[in-house]
Amino acid sequence: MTGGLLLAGYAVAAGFCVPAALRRGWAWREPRVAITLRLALAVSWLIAVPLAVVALAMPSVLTWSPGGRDPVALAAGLALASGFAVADAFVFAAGFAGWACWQMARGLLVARRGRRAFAASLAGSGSGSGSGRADPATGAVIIDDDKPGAYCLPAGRRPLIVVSAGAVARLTPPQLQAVLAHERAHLRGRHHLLLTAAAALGRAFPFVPLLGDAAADLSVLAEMAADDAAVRRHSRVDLAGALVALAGAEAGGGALAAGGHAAIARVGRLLAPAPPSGVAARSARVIAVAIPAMVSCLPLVLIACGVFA
Amino acid sequence: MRALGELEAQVMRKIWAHAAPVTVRDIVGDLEHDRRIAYTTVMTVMDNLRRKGWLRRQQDGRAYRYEPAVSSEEYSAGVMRAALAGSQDRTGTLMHFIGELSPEEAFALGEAYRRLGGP
Repeated sequence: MTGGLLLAGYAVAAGFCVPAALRRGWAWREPRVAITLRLALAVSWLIAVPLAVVALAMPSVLTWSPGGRDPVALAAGLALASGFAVADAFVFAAGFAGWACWQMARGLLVARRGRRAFAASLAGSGSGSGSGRADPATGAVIIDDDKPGAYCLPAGRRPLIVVSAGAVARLTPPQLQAVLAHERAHLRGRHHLLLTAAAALGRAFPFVPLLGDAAADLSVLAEMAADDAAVRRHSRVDLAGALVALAGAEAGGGALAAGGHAAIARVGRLLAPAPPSGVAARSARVIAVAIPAMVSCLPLVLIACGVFA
Repeated sequence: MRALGELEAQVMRKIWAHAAPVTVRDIVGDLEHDRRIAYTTVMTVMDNLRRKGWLRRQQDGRAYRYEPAVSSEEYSAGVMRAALAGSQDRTGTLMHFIGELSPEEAFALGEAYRRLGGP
């Protein structure tokens, strides 16, 4: 079996078959593992597809050959390979890579511009006329809005956590602290980058379940991961209470913010957590990353053995 | 609520800073601390703001006195809401603590919380 077929098989499996397994209950018990796994699969898929196409057009490159190959013979073999198929394959690979990179760059840029504009509207132009004022007690920016809302604004050098006056009014102080811890976890984990990238890849390859559904799934998982981080130092009941207190009438909740279904799941996780599984969870994490990483290295390994051995 | 232009916003901020209705001359004096600006420019801007509904005016002798028709809090909230609405499609622009729930969903959430023993 040539490396090309292996890669193609992996691309199909990872792109279309595995995603369903990423949605099972285990994902919500181990959100960080699920996030890592989806990320690793996505990256390895992006590598596997163009390499598979190139390898299938040039089987001589990735054929396992224990005796190694004479580079000269290999070059000659390449030259003799069907010219059209090889050229097309390279064009496809380049186009694929370019398309993915362009969508990614565009998504990241648009998101960054949106965040900057938002931060600017928060700050106003000094003289206290902006929409928000920093609250020294909590370190967050409070905006005068009765609609309850809390969110973080990852803005480069000075990330902000924004809480509306309506939210502050509805939360007890411990609940507010729990919410702030949750938002800080988002900032530490750079979840905004994760979600922007996932959305961009979903726009680039909407027909591939692995990527098309990634942003929606990852946004829920990111919320759960941030919940887990927050309850390391704050009470689960407080965080769950904050969810209930702020539910409903969230000002302009983003389309991919955790909606009702996910919010109920989050409360369930917080108030009735699954018992911790130490060793099993850790092993799962290791395996979750190792397998896609190994498979995505497969073509490089084969090339190294085939060409330079 | 449409966003204000740069100069319009500056003028509105100066007007909001005053507790009482102001004349164009007052605002020109305020703005001249920061920049060179012509009386007629400010007059035009303030008249435009009045026509757009941001300011009210009443005659005071030979001049008009303007006062805000929209409070600065309303303006800020309007800007925020517009920006938030605009952030809907931009995943990762903001990370909301909880998303938008319908009243039914909010009720179901409260029920789940109580059922699981929340106080």
